[in-house]
Amino acid sequence: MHIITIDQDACNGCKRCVEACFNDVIRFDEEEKVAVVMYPEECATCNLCELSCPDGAIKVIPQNPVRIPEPYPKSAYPKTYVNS
Amino acid sequence: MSNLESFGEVYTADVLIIGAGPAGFIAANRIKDLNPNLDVLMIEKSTAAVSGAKANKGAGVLWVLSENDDLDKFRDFFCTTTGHFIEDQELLEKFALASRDMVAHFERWNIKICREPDGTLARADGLPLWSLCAFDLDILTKLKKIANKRGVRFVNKTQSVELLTDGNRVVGTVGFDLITGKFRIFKGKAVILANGACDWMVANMWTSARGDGIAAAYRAGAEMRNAEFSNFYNLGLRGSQSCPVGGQFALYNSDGEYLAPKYCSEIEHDIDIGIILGMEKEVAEGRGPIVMEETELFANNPLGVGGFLFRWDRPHAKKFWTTLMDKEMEYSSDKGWRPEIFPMFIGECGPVKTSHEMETTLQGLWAIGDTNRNGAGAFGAVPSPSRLRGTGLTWAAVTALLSEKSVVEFASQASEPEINEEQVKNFKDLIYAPMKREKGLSPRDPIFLLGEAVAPPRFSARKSKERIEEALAMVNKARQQYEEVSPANDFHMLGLCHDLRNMTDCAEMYFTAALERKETRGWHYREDFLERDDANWRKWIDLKLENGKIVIRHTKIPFENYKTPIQPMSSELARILENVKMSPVLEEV
Repeated sequence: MHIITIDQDACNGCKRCVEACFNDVIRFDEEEKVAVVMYPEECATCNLCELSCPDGAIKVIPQNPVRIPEPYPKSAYPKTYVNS
Repeated sequence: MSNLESFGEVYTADVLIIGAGPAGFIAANRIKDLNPNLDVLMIEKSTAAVSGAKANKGAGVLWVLSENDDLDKFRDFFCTTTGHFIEDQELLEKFALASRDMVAHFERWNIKICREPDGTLARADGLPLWSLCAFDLDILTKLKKIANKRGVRFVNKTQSVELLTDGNRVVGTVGFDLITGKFRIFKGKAVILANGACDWMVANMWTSARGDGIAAAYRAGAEMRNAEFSNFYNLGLRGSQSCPVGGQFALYNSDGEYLAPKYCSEIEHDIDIGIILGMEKEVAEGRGPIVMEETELFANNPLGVGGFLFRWDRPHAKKFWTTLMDKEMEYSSDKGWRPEIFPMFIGECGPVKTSHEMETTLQGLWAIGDTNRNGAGAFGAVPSPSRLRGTGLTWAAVTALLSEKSVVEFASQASEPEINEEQVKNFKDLIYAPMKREKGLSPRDPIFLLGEAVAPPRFSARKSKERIEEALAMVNKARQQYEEVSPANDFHMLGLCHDLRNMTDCAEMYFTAALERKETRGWHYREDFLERDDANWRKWIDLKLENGKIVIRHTKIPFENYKTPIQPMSSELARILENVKMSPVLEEV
């Protein structure tokens, strides 16, 4: 899962990151008046939240390798795995 | 309070546009240009002007058949190399010519289109038949500015789930607020689906395209077409998920053998299915993994997209791409000399069947942009981007332009929509049904299962009856698991539950059509039907849901009206198809 950090002290509550995310990863805490990362599982590491923040409060830290449907599972492609 | 308001929040407009990406915005702005008195409301799942899977996250390239380009040459070239003679040639021509109007509108709206120093539209070396220009990635912001001035209204963070119908007419949609969960009812005289393709949440930058509008239209009884061509692959770097466009000319197997001569045309205007099948063959025969020699990425690459990204003065694109590329280098898990390449499944299922004015088979419903990319039929035997890089935005714009008069005429004259309150109640119950399960599966697990059905090349590149049926069994399992998922009282998770349902419907359409087309043509490769069979299969496969069952129909293509006559497969393509053959076929999992 990718890591998205929001510096709550630096966040000015402008909501630009909330609006920037096309996958609803970031929400706004109406009580604390800061952005919070709620659904990092859906993060696509497009970095638009980080780029939209006027105060540099957000950092997106991709975690690789990403879990994907394996294109060449060993069970279907045994010959390529003979020496591994 | 009316009865309808007792169910939830009610919104009314002359034109509802579901999806606030480029297609939706261009449609909205043009409808307002033609009839400022029409009330236009855009419904968006995220926030208007930041959505659109690619518009603000892509290369920002734009395909245009410029004034100096020859329509006949383009059409002939396209039919022979890409559409493989099941394209709607008349619509293909309309699309190409309308791309010129698109440029005029963009420049009128202060969207800068990059030109050569002599003022002509920009071109890429190696692509002589059309123009490949560029725009900056703030395009949605600029389109929204125009929309705001025109008085277009927006409702954000709203997931549209089902279409409201009155007989064969679509009269609105229902959905819910992703934050508050509030139920929303939208009434509209005309409804435009502009909410993208289905990419099954496999590849990162494409994860917002979950087939919402396609599946809703399908369930409402709209016909689908060309669903079998929903299998686009880019190349991907395993370690960072980035896409080296044009990288098929820089690939090597584990013996150090250069792959392009076997699996690519000598001059290839964009990636074709050959390299995807070829990579699979190399791995199956023990010569994997496949790696990329990065220093050769631009050597034979007519797109030269990497160079294109920074050729122009585009501040937003520069910031976006330098950030992305710096992070890919820093955080890649494969920083080896020749990084591993894999077939990155994108999909691009967009089968909503439409007329040349983008009307679906339901009255009052249009589909534009990625939603009808296959279903309109213009591009034939290939998934988006139809081997024409840059046509994503062009198609979004052109479909908005080709539908504008028809939408305006209908919305100006149509009667007020009659909403069936029982249908609203039933849809409301359906939408919130998963919330009744306090415990259950997370929707993320069956969503990943769908990815495992669509993404691997043994299901989506090298098809066979047995493996399509195996994939359909996985799709059916995901459908059963929809009945067991719980959103754990969370509306974002409720959204994922409905995404699961929509993606399941799209996967079923895709594999059903793929099973039906018993030949090999373009990106549809069947190892059990290796030949292109014009006598039996030069036609369109249409699907429709009737009484809960998929009905398949074959539609004759009116090729007697077309200017490019059919030709046999080129010897170059025949050579590649011979090279990708595997014997014996894949071992059973």
